[in-house]
Amino acid sequence: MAKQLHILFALICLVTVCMTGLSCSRRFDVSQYETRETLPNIEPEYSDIVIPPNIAPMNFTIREKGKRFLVKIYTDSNEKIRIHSNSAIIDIPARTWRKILLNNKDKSIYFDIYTYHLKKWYKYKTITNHIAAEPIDRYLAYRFLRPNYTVLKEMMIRQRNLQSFSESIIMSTKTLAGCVNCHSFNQNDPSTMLMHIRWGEAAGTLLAREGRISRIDTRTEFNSSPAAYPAWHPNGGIVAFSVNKVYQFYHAHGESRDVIDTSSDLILYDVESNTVNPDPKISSPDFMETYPNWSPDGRYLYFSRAPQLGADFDLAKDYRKIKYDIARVAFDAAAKKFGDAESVISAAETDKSATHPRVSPDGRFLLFCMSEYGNFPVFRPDADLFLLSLETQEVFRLNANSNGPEGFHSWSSNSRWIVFTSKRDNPVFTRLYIAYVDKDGTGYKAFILPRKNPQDYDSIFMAYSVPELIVKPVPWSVHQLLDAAFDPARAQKARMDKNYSIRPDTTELPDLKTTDYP
Amino acid sequence: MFEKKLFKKKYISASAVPLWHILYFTGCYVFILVKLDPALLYECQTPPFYWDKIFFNNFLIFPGGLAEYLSILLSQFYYYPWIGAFILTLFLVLTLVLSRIILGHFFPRSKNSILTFIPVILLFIMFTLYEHRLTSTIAWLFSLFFFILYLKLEARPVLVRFPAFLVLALILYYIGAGFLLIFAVLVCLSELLFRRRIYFGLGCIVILLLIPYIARHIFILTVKSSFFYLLLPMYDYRPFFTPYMLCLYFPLVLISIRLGLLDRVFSIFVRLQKNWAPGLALLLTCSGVLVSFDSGMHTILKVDDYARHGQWEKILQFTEKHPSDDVLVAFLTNRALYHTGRLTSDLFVWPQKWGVDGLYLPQEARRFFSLQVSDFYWDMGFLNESHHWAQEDHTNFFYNPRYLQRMALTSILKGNTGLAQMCLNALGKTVLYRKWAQKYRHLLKDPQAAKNNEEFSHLEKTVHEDFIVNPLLPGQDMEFLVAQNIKNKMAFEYLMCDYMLSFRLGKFFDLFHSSGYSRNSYVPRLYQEALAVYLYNTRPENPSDWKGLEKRTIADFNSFMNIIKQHNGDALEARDLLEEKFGHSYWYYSLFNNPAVQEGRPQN
Repeated sequence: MAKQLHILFALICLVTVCMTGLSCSRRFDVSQYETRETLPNIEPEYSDIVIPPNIAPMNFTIREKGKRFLVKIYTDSNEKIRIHSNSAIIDIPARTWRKILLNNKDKSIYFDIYTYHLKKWYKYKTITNHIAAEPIDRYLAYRFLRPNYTVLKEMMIRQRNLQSFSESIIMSTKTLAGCVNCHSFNQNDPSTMLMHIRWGEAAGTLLAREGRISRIDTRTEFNSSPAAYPAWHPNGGIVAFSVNKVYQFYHAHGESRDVIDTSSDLILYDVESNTVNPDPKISSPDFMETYPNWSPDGRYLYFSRAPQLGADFDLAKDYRKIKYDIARVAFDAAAKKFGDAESVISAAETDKSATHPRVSPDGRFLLFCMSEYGNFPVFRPDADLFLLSLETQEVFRLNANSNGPEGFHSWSSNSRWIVFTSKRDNPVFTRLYIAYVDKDGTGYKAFILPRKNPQDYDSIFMAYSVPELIVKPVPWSVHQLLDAAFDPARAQKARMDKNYSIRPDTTELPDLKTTDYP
Repeated sequence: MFEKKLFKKKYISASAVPLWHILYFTGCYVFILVKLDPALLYECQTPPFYWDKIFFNNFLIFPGGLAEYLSILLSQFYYYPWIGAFILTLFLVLTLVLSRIILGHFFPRSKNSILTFIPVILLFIMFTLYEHRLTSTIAWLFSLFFFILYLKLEARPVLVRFPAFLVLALILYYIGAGFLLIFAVLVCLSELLFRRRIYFGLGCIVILLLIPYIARHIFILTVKSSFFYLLLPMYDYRPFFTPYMLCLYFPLVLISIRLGLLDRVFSIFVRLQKNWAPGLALLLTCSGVLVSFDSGMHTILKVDDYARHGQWEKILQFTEKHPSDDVLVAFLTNRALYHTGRLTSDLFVWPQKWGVDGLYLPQEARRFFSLQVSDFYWDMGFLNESHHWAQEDHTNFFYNPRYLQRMALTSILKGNTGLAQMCLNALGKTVLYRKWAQKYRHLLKDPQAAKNNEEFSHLEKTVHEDFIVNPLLPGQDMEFLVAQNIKNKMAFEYLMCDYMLSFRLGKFFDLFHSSGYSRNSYVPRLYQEALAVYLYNTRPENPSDWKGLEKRTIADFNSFMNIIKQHNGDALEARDLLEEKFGHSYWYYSLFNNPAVQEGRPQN
């Protein structure tokens, strides 16, 4: 009996091995096919794009009829990947993909797609993409959250390795019962970083640098609201923040949600002295300043600003009149003094609202959003990304734009890649898109952040927001950050800089029920 | 002879026990099916379940996730009441089986006693709470099952038992989180009390402390949740101690057995328990269920269920028989009145104690009943607000399939096919809503068909121009809607009722005239009653203002006022008589049933 069982077991093993071998060596014969003069319909639409040489396999789904599929991926140097699949979901082998990309920088990569339908093979027009010479930063940190209108529920900040599909959580509200936002890194380096936690026991700004994490309460006599929208000065010792009073409202027609600031100012936070500096040059009572961003040499602070709303502001009539300029002020880091503000993009000239200025790390370009009004472009269907050449003062509309709103964005450390949020796929759940910007400032068509299963996005009823490219993973675990957040010994209360007094606040704000968080 | 007697006795007892067990569980099944109604459990919990890898992955990232996953997998079948009742009864049977094995192992005499039934009764009491999720029940049953597995290794040496305990503890922690405590305590007690293995028992305690500690460094957990997630009750059970009793039951029984307490009890009541076990079980179950069954919640869920299925007449019939002070019931009853065409005639047949809040729900309640608010705006054809409140629901109750249904339709109608496709794809991965998704899928390719679809015809004529929605004053939005389209019947009637309920009769009068009602032959009864009050107070000279009032209304109004006069102007004194004759009138509401009177606030 035992002997018979052994024979049976051996037979099962043999059949299994044979089946596996057969399935592995399965090859479709496509020597005869009919040519179709159209590009194949694939999702995500990875065609005519520039891709980073270090990006994870860009798996896709073939949206053409067929029972079998063959995809040939090749380059001019004749390196090839052949994928034979009975499924329309094309899973590109990671190792070969990586090798091909690295060996063919600044060259084209081709995708030939064959489908087998009604006993016939069809070959579609070749998809041509270009492999850039410059890599993208390896990691991408982003906020991952539900739509959060008036109800706020669980959200997290996550990081994704762009070279693979691995992801991890930087921070989660699962144990915080609050809100986490505004993660910010100094010069794409997560060794110096911060993020905010709103409400609850752990509320404050988590600031991590030089190997230690502290929690700062950034509220002072000047700002009753905690600081938001941070920007690290390149010296790593100063952070520019905005302090905002935010009002969320809803439209009866078109895009449902909208947000305005009823007041906002910029402040400087000195990390060493734990002081807040509300310099009138950046916190003028006449303007609402927000979205600070430093030039890479630290000599200028760029920001958006709009005239301060008065008590006579009528939301229903006037909300479309709120248009932001982009301005900058010179900064002397040694003396910590600002010069006078100068306009960079003028709303009076464009009749648009320009927000979210981000200077490229090489200091040559300023990337910003422009929309009809307001400072929250993600809720404006017309919001697009623009590039200002800081050398020629020319403004370009990027090819990466779509019909949907484009919003928060970030540069890679080599200034060749941008990542941004877009609602082009659906009007609720923002997705992350990556685009190449060449050294002349020409922006190329954007592509969605690749996923192992390209159909995953259909099942993700969460929004991706505030993407930040970083050169390495965040060096702190979520548990270290949580421990710091709950540790009273590491909590500090920021003080006002003694050199500044609180300005007499005579501004009468609109009578709206605002919140302190964006 | 003696053997024969014994055999006979054994035979009787062996056959009698299953019979009353069968009767007992059949009774449970019938109670769950008829009284509790699993459809209402579904209404309360709306467990979202998708055959989808990403959805499944959401449950792998924390201890207890698998129990939650199993829970929603099973509880989605509450949708079909007879399957739902079967599932719950099955859990009760399973509890009895596990209970018998455990107690039979330590105290064979108790195998057929009431002792094995107490956990069943406790669980049954917990099932009568509509909020009760199966998650904790599944985790608890796993902890008992793992304990039984462990008991199977009893004959093995410590070197086998301890690693086995460790492996079982790790698996159980991942499946059922805090229910590791029950398992570890039971193992610890069995080793300490029944085998005198002190070090083993201490080892169990160390493992019990160590696993949650390590888990805190792997998963994202607070100290409390690392030890007690799922174990601590999340809902207000009645009596509140029921879940604690259930968790403590087996450890306490083991201790009692070891201390010999049960021996004594059994020797005293041996005859009693044998004869009275079924009766006692029945008595305990009935009294438990009487205490725990929440008839108020039953009413709310029943009304909500009717509203969900558009059974408006049934709502009115049900709320007439089962009056409720709940604001959601008031809100849904008013919706039912509108849909049955009775809003303007029978509004005050149901006491409008919530006033305007009964029309729109108060702000705090809207955040919780966001899908009901979305339904309300959907009925009205106010797409953006329907969309907005569906989103609130999604944030509150992640992956709710009803949210996906609403989003699919609003997205199709707003031309957002990307989002509509996402929603329909997700619904296609459910058991219950797959057909629904299939029904609407064709609209993605042909948005024009949606516009021509009769189901959506009421959405065509509503909002043409944008305005700012006022979340604090829904009545203001009604004004905008009516200003854009006075033929928006629902917005118009709600606005008129809003004006009546909030005593803004000047506005009521203006809208009444601007709408052309005064030129029409028929004016709804309640409008006439409000008009009578307004005209009585303002006494306009223009005779055309009196148009619309029927002679009968004037006579009734005079009669109402006369009754008060007969009581020397003291309305309170006349209340009973007024209620008898005019209890369903606007006039009675104005004096007695409005929220200001209810709350004892002064009235204008």
